[in-house]
Amino acid sequence: MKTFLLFVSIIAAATGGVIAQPAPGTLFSVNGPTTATEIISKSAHFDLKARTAIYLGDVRVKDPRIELSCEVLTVKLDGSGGKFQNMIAETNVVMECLDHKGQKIRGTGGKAIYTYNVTATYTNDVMELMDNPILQTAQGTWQGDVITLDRGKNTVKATNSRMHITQPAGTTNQSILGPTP
Amino acid sequence: MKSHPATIAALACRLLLVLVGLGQTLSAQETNAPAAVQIATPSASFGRVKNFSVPDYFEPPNQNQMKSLLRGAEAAPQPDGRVLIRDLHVETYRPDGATEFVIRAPECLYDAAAQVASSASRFEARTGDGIVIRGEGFRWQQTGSTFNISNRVHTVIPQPDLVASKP
Repeated sequence: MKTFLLFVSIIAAATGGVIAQPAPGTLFSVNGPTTATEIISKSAHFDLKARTAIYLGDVRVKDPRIELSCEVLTVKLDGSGGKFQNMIAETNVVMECLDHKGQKIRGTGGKAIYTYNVTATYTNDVMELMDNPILQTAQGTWQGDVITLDRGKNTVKATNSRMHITQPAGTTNQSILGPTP
Repeated sequence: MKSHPATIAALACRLLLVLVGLGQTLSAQETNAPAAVQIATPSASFGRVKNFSVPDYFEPPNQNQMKSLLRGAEAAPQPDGRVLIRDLHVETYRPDGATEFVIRAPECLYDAAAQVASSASRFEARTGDGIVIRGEGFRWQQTGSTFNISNRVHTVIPQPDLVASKP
């Protein structure tokens, strides 16, 4: 699996294209039975007609599948029901979630846009990291212009991506790439 | 007789102020006009009014639909013209009658002229679709439908379909 990921990463880095991670399992997992999103901040402004909320100062979002912190968070709520359509996080953005193995994924950047929309046929559940985004996984660190986590499709994409591979202590390149011919 | 909602709201506020003992006098024409103004079984003593409610209505063509209802256990006039309300309960409504927003606070100051309620105390608010907002200190602008929280904001947004959409 590591070899596969390394191969995909190298190809993507070389082409500057898009990385898709066709993992057999799921990329993200639910941390518990909670079915609510919590947002904590120092202050907030709500526009009840426009159904928007702006959270300011030490903002923290706790969602069943993702945690996020930033300094400014703009939330656009759905017209019906309590769901949010999208969230825009700005300044010192840090997000954390778990991969399908339960390993932590940590992303940072200057800005993140989270879009959430569920229909009868699909789930649009996408987090875009931008402004010098960095995604740290158990396999290594990804950088790029924009890193996109599609939780509906369970894929990770990065434009103009670069990846730094992290090797477990005591291993060599040969152990990751396979035996030397 | 039809009355402009703004006039009704102003009269409602005046009526409240009269009840809390500020000595304002309503003209005969004004007192006949606001059929919608209701002060729910208030009891006034020593410049205070208890168990009151102040409704506000939408502009035409929804002038018969309540836009907001401000209730309190007790109101007392303040030197700056505002009214100190204890056990505040505010509900706002959409034109179709559905509840839009509910605010509860142990106390707040209500500026009738500006139609602004503000408080430094802890409060809890809830939207019609179940979002719960708690915090410390707020300012609610009745006319603009804006709600600002000063400190320690905690919002809970229910996501009932999140488990169903689990990958």
